[in-house]
Amino acid sequence: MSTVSGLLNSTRIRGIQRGTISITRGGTDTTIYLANTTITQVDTNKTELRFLGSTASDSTSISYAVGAAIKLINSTTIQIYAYGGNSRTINASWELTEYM
Amino acid sequence: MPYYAQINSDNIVYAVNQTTGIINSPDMIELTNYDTNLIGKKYNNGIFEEISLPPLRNITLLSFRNRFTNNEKLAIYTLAQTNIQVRIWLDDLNAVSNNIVNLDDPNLISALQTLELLNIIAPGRSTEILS
Repeated sequence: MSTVSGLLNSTRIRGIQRGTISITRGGTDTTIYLANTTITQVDTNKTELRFLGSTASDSTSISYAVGAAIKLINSTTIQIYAYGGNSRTINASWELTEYM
Repeated sequence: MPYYAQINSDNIVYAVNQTTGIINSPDMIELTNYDTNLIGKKYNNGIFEEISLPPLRNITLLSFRNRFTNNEKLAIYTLAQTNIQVRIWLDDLNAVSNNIVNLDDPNLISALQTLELLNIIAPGRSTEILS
């Protein structure tokens, strides 16, 4: 047993996944700040999703904090919804832990 | 643990994930590391290419209002006294975030085209106002 898997077993963690998801205006998506991203299948009853924060940037590339919500909508999909006014891009980071 | 860049229908990377297992999906491109700098790039035959986006056409609310003539404003506000949809649109417009109006906002374009159809503004004015 490796050190990592030993640590996971001792804390009864099945796995950790993380990511950054971005919604950019100016392409085909010009109206909404809503996007889904795919993850490896988890048991939603045993999974904790954590929102790590989000930023928005406008056409001058100035980044600032922005409100966003993130949720596990099914066993393989995380959805982000954000509000950024007329921002060019909104980025949000997440991390989830699936327990045994 | 595998890493993936997820692409949209335009092949633009909009997410980078580290997962616990393999994901077999055409929109999930396997990576060698967790590289969030790929976000916004276009995936093309195994290569992530830089792309440039057209600039946002944002103006202040006051600048937008100044694009209307006084007679047009009178006509719009007069109509708003009896047309609840126009009133809602005006209220929404006044509530825009940071007082910034995006000239490519589909709702704004639709509203101005409707005003044109209602003869509140002259034919062609919606294009002029949004230019």
